[in-house]
Amino acid sequence: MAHEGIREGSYLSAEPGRGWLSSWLLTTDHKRIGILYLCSILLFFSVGVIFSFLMRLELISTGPTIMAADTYNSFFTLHGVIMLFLFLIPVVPAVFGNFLLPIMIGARDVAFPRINLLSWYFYMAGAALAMATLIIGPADTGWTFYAPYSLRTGSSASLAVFAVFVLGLSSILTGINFVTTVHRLRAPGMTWFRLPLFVWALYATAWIFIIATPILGVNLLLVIAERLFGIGVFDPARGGDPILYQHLFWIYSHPAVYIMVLPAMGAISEIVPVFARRVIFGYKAIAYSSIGIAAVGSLVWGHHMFVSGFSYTAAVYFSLFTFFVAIPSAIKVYNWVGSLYTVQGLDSYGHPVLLRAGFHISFFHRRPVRAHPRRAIGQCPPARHLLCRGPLPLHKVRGGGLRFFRGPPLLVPEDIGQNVQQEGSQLGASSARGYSWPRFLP
Amino acid sequence: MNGTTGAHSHRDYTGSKIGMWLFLFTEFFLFFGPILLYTIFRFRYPQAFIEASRALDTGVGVFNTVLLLTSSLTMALAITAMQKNKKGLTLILLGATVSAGAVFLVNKYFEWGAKISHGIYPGGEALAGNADGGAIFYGLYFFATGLHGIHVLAGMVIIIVAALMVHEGKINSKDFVKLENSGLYWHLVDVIWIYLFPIFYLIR
Repeated sequence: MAHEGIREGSYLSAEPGRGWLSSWLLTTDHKRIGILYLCSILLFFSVGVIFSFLMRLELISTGPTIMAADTYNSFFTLHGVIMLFLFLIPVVPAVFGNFLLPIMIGARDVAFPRINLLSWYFYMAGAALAMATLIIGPADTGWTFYAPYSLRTGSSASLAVFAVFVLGLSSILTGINFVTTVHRLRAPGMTWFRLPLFVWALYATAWIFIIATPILGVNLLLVIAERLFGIGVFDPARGGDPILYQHLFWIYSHPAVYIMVLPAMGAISEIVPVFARRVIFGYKAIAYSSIGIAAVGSLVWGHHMFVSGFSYTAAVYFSLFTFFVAIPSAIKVYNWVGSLYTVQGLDSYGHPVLLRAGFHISFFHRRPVRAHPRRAIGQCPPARHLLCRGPLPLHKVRGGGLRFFRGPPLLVPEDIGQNVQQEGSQLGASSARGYSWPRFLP
Repeated sequence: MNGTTGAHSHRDYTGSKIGMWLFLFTEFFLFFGPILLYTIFRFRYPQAFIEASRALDTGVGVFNTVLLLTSSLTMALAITAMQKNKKGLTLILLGATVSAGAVFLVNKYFEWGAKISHGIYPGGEALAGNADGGAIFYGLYFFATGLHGIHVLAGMVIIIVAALMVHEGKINSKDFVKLENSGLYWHLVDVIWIYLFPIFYLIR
C-alpha cells in the first residue's frame, strides 16, 4: 500500500480542494462514512420511533382512536421496514464497523473506500424509496412481505419490496469490504488471534451479509415478478406454494438476527475487560463462538415457521439446531462472567458493566420465563403458543438485546473525554432500558 | 483503487481479486433461489415439467451455449493479450466477446417472442388456469433466464467500459486487474447459463 497526501488536522475538517458539503458527500474516508451512516441511521430511527409511539397511542383504547385501520397497517409496515432494514441491520456494522474496524487492525482505511461510499448511497436510495411509499401509497404487508397477501394487496408493496432489495445491495457491499479488509489490511504483526474481539464479531457478521443477503434479494425479486407478471411460484392458484416464500425469507432473516446481535456481543467483549481491568477470559473461545453463531445460526431458520405448517421431521430438526445456537452464545456469556469473577468490589464495575448485566438479564435470564428463543421458542410446542403473543419476542431480543445506546459513548476515543463516556453511557443505558422494557410489557 | 481525493490510493491486486470473488459468490446465491424452487417443483410436478420442457427449442439453446462458451474463451484471450501488451488485439477480442453477448440476447429475444406469441407466458392464455406445474415451469423459465439476461447485459456494459479504459491506457500491461475482474464477471454469466441450460432444456 502506497499512501500519499495524509491530511493535516482532524478528519472532521473539510477535505483539501472541497467545500464542506462535497467533502462529506464525496468522502472516501472510513471515519467520515461512519459518521454519514450514524446521522442518517439516527434520522430514520427517530422516524421509526414516531411510528411506534403513534401505534401504541392508537392501541390505548379499543376502536379507532387516532387513525383508521389502513393507516395503522401502513405505519406498522413502515415501522418494521425502518427498524429492521434501516436501523438494526446497518447500525453497528455500518457505523462502528466502518469507524473502528480499520483503526483496530491498523489499516488506513477499508479495502475498497469508494465502494464503501457507494454502499452509503445504496442505503440512502433504499431509504428514499421506502419513504416514497408514504406518498405513493404505503404498503400494508408488514415488514416480512409474506406471500400470498403481499402478492394480492393493492397497496404499493412492490416499491417497498424494491426498497429493501436496494438496502440489501448496501449490506452486501459492506460485507465484501469488511471481509477483504480483515484478510488483506491487517497491520504487520496483527495476527488472527491478536484481532480485537469486536473485529472477530464484525468479520462473522460480514460473512452473514455475503451469504444470506442474496437469498433475500432474489426472494424479493420473485415477489415483484409475481406481482407484475404472476409467475406463480408462490401462488397456490397456479400450482405454487406460499410456504416457500417463508423459507427463502427466513433463510436470510434469521441470520439477520445475528447480524444485529453479533457486533453488539463483540462490543461487550471489548467493554468487559476494560472495566474488569484484566484481559478477557477465554479469548479464543469467544472468537470462535462468533464464527460458530454465524454458522449454526444459518441452519435454524425454520423455527420462525413452526406455526406455518410443515412436517414433524422438519420441526424436530429446526428445534434441535436452535438449541445448538445456545452453545456458542453461552460460551460468550460464561466468558464475560469469568472475566468479571476476579473483580474486587462493586465500585469498580461502573455503568458499562451494569449495562452488560442489563443485556444479560434481558437476553438470558428474564426471557426464559416468558419467551426465550433458545429455550421456550426453540421448542416447537410452546412456540405455537407464544408466537401468537404480539410484539414481545421480537422486541425483547432485537430492541432490548441490541446495545446501540450503550456502545457509542464507550467507543468514543479517549481524547474527547472520560466524562462523555461515563455520563453518555449511563444516559444511554437507562433510556434504552427505561424505553424498551416497559413499552413491550404485554 | 484510487480514491477520489488521492488520499487512499493503494493497489492491492490480491485484495481486488478477493473482493470480486466474494461478489461473484453473492451472485451465485442470487441464482440459488430460482434453482432451489425449480428442484422443489420438479419433485412435485415431474410429468408436467417434462411436458413443458419439450416445448423449448434445444437447438437454439445449444447454439446459445456454444456462443457463450466461445465468448468466455475470447475474454480469457483478451486478458492474456493485455498482459502481453497487445492493445489492438485486446480490443478486437473484447469486441468479439461483447458481440457474442449481443447475439445471445437477440436469440433470447426471438425465443421469448415465439413463446409469448403462442400464449406461453405467465398470465398467457396457454397457461391460464394451469395449476398442474406447467405454469410454474414457465414462470421459473422466464424469471431465471430473464435475470440471467440482465446479467448478460450488465456484463456487456462492464466489458465496454473496460475496453474504453484499455483504449485510454488506464488498463495496461502493468495494471490489468480491472480487466481480469471484468473477465471473472463474464465467466460468471457463462457459468450460470451452464446451469440454466440443462435444467430447462435438457433434463426431460
